[in-house]
Amino acid sequence: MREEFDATAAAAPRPGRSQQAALVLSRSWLFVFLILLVGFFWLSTPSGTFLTRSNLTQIGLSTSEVVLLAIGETFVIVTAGIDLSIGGILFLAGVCGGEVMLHVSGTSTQVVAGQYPHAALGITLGVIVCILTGAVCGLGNGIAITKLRLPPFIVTLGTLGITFGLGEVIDGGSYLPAPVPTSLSQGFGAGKFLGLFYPIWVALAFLLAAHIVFTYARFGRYTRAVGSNAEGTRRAGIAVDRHIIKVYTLAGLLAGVAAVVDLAIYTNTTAISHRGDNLNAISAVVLGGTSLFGGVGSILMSAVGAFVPTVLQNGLVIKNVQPFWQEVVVGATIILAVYLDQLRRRRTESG
Amino acid sequence: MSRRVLAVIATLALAVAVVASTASGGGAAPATKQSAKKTYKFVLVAGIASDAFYLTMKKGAQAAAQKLGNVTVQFTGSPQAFSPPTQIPYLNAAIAKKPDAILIAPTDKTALIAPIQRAVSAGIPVVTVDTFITKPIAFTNVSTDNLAGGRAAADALVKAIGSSGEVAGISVNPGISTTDQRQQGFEQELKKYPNVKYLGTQYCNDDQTKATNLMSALLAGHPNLKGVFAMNVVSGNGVTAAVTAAGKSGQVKLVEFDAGPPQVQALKAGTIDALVAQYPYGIGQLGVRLAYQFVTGHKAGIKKHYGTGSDIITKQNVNLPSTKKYLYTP
Repeated sequence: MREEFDATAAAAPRPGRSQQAALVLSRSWLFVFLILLVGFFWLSTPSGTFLTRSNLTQIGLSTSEVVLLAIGETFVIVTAGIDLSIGGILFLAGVCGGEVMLHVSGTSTQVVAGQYPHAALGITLGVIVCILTGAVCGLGNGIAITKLRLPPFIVTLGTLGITFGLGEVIDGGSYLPAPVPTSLSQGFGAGKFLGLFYPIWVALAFLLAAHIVFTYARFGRYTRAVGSNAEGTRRAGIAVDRHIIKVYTLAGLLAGVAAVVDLAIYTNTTAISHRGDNLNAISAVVLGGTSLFGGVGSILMSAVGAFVPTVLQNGLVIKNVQPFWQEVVVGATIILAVYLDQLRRRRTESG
Repeated sequence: MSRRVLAVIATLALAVAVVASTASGGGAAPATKQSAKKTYKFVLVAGIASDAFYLTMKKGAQAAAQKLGNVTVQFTGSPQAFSPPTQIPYLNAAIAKKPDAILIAPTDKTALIAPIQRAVSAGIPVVTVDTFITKPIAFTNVSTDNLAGGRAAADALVKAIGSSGEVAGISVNPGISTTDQRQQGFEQELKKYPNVKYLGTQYCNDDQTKATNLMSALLAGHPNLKGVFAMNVVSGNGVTAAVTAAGKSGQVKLVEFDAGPPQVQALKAGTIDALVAQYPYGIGQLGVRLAYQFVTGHKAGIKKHYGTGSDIITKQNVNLPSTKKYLYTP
């Protein structure tokens, strides 16, 4: 049976619990792959190197941003859309939030000298601005896609340019004038709670909430319905346009949250290092088994998909693999993972 | 309704275009008063226009132009990426304007040869600044001696780790003349220290998240790692984040190339131990002076290469007046 979702089913009672569990298990195949990968590196590297708590938490920290972006991207792709602008939105939100944070925290001479007398207020306002900027950009995407009837690919590509450009205009084409307050960078970005960095907790919290919303709530059911049959969903009386706007706003908002995490980890932001964010997020989503044609997807698996390249890269460096071969292996493994996933799917479909 | 929406959008787009064109016009130096003299127009094509290094170079170039009086310098370049496909369109646009000279920081040693040849063939003399190309078609090159910078970085790093232990490098990508030479100089100089073990250089693709991940892996795989040389700004950001998160600030020494505002901050805060600072302001200044000399017919005596030096900045000398000129101020 094809895993399709039609509008009438959206209103119908959900499938049985055991059936759903089986579905989840068959979809968590990538998770098994990731565990095997971790096992392989654990056995093939000297003990006390790869499988240490410090290394694993570091991997988690550097993947937290991509996880946040991939959550939003999953919702978007499941509606059969695409968001190419989240990297740009992240950058613009980081610049706007960062500027507000610094201006409120102290005078320009104070912050350049590393003093932040009003850090608490500055950080609070800065975080709000980051998230708001993200949400507003996403809202703009959603409105342009639905009200102007433009393809998401073009709209978000345009937004990508606008956001990167505006960010550069605001920060004068370079960096924020000073690093963000140390209570944000040291306290939050490099700070730990129960052994895990705060950014990891943020990513986990959003991941769990998004998974519940996507799988069990009406919002998630509508998202899948829109992606599998937009016209049918519309006829079933669901406000499709409004839902699409909400989904793009959510993706923007999550990019804003990722911007806060970015500022906290790196203390500053540069456009150049966010050029690859879109592709990283989209490849995580696709690796996680979400169909680019919409209708089907899994939030948790997108997060697992985000971890596969990071874990690979980390393990290969520890194994002292030559840098150029690392790229080859990462690329080949991604193709292999998706191929195995397709094989499994075809088998379940024919069987 | 849709027609009205279209009209609104068209008007908005036009407005944005007008604002953008007037805003970018502000970058050029004011025209000279001595209108009797010929005015020379130079174009400076940056490697990447959104970087403190090139913005400082632009300042130096425009200061030199203003001092000469009858020279204007237009600053251009891709704000998006340091790469030939993003840079070449800006170079082509510069050639189309038929300036008296072009100053360019080529983003690749070989890929920019043909596009620069087009400028030379069109009769526009070219100075390469900061980076260079392997074919001698530019009449001169003004740049930091990156080999020497790499060697200085090795010395500073070895000194910081106390002359023994494991060290590694993090760079952008192979093929960029500047970072290649930094790496080469670094590796040459390390051979002088038998007690220092070099673990090789990793490439982060100018992605700070990747640099963080690479650095985390190096920290996990090599518990005795004592020092890292980050060969550009983005690599350095990633390294700093990884070292801070691992709680190893101060234990793992860090030497970084370039001295933009965030690096100087990190140096003062103690997360970076030494910076190899170039002199972009001086590169811009000298580039414009040499171009002026060339176009006014005083071609004799212009050398093929001018080095503008670099300086090692540490916590001890960062506030000294003699160090000031090396700090990048966009």
